[in-house]
Amino acid sequence: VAEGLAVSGGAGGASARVEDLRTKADIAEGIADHLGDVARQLGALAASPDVLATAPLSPLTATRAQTQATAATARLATTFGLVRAGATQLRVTAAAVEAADRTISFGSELGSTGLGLLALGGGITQSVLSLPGSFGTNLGSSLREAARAGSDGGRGAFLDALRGVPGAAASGTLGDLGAYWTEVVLDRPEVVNAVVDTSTVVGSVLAGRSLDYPALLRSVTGIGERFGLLDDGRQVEVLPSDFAGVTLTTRGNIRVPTSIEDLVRNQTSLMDLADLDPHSSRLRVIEVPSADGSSWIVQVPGTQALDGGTNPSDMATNLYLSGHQDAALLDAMSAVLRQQGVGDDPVMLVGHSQGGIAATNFSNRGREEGFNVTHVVTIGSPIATIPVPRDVQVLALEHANDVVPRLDGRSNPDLPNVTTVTRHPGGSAVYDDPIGPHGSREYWETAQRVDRSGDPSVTTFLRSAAPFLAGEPRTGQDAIRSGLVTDHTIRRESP
Amino acid sequence: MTVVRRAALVAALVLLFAGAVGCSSTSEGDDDQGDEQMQVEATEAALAALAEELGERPGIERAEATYDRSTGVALPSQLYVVAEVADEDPQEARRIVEEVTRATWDSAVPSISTLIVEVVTADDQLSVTTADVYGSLSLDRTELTERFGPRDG
Repeated sequence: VAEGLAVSGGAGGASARVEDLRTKADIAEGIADHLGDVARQLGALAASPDVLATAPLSPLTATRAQTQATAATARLATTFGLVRAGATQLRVTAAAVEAADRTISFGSELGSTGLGLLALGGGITQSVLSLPGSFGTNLGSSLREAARAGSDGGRGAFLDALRGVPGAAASGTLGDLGAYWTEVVLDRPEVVNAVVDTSTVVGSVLAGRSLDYPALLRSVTGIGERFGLLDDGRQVEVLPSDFAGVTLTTRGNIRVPTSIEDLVRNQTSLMDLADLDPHSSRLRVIEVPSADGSSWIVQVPGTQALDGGTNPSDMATNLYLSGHQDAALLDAMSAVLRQQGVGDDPVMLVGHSQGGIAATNFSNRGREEGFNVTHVVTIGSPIATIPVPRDVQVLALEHANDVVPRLDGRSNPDLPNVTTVTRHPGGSAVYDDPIGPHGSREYWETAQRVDRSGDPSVTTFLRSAAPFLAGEPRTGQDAIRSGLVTDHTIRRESP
Repeated sequence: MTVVRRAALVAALVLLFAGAVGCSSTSEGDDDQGDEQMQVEATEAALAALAEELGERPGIERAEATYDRSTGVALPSQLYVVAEVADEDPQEARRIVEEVTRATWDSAVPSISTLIVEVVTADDQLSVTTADVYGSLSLDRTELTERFGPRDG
């Protein structure tokens, strides 16, 4: 674990090793087949009528030649057998690695579901136990209130006060439940994974069919839309933006990036600037010119509001994107790329939190729309269930004590094109809030460590992403004045 | 799927998201929301005072201090302090990073979980951070206590 980072997937991951073993087995089998052919040809040659016809001319030489040919054929046959056996062994090893991986994954899911059931059970027990207490307390205070109002309002006031008791008791219970979860998550962040796992199982049982987490979320958005609770609008406006309001703490984090740290710092400044207008969000596009044409980086901010109205960076978008559905935010990304005239130039998508979910989803849609999306960088995003084209390289930064990347209940898949880097910053007790390790500034240092990392998966990713990070380093006003960094204001036309 | 099943499904998911939101919010409803708002206001006032005080120190042109909002919620205990200097000497910038880090730890900012300090020039050509001075960009409370001793709040 160099630099305090645990790396899974990517070029050095288990899946890449299995692929490598299979490729080697293919090559070995090719060689074996070739050896077999040569051995057969040699055997046939030694026994061919033409060769046999020449034997009487020089019987001694012919016998020697035949003996040598037979011996060579035997040696080739032995080598053929050995190479074949080697190829089979490579395939068996690959299958064993895969089977072990599946077993570990099944065991971990089983353990996770068990842990989730325990945590849920604990929460429910605690809430039920606290109900009589909060019910009694609230009944007492309502009766006192009724007694005070009694002299003026009489019986009506007494009944009104009583009606408020269940609500107040429920709110006390919800408070206890919240406290319970905060405590549990601070102590064991992995319980979030487990709860998601368990909820998916519970959801499947209730639905009477096997549901995965995205399908579960699609059901939720479907129900939400049906009852008028959710509306993503799907009409977006993309407007030019400026850098008015840039402060000292924002300025230095606007960068033409030359490192992963710069990308993460851009995320922070993007969010700081987006905060200035709660009714809209922002997308940042950075052009990296080169002699061979430009490369483009699109940076997408995280969630800004529970119900954003015209601001598409809200919780509804999280539900749509986590269910792998289209969203106004993706429409905006598409519109921004077209406005910038990106064409078929290489595109890297970067996002923190919701931005990472959007970036990963857009790797598919962008391809369908003709954009040449080649790289995705996510920071603290739950992206495990989102399919990614095999030739799109993904780098996912996560904190072990960040609950958000766990909200899909899965670890990222170990795929040759998906590299996940995990760090555990500080002790979780250091943070006052369980969401603390999710802050984008906390990811700056993780990114610094990634930039210094010598891990094969990380270095392979960084090498492939080099054209995006090859610009002249520019920071703050220098980056803004260069014209290479462009922010776009985005908003839903109809909330 | 029957309506009952759908309702149960929604209930399960509401629980799930309530749990997730519960993680990012406080536990005692309105009282704690009020407390949180008070902590934000107290932090903002203390950060403004700190920035003003830092800006008057020799070698520092101006300073600004803020806290993390990048998660969509205010995290007033995760601080980021930037000081702008005129002198482009990296050694002097390192000294100022140390001075600002200590001053922030000793300040009246109510609660500090993590702290990042950066010293920059007006043209952003020079940037020296806590990573350059302490080897760690984001200093957590444990590291800060080890270096500068315990603080109140």
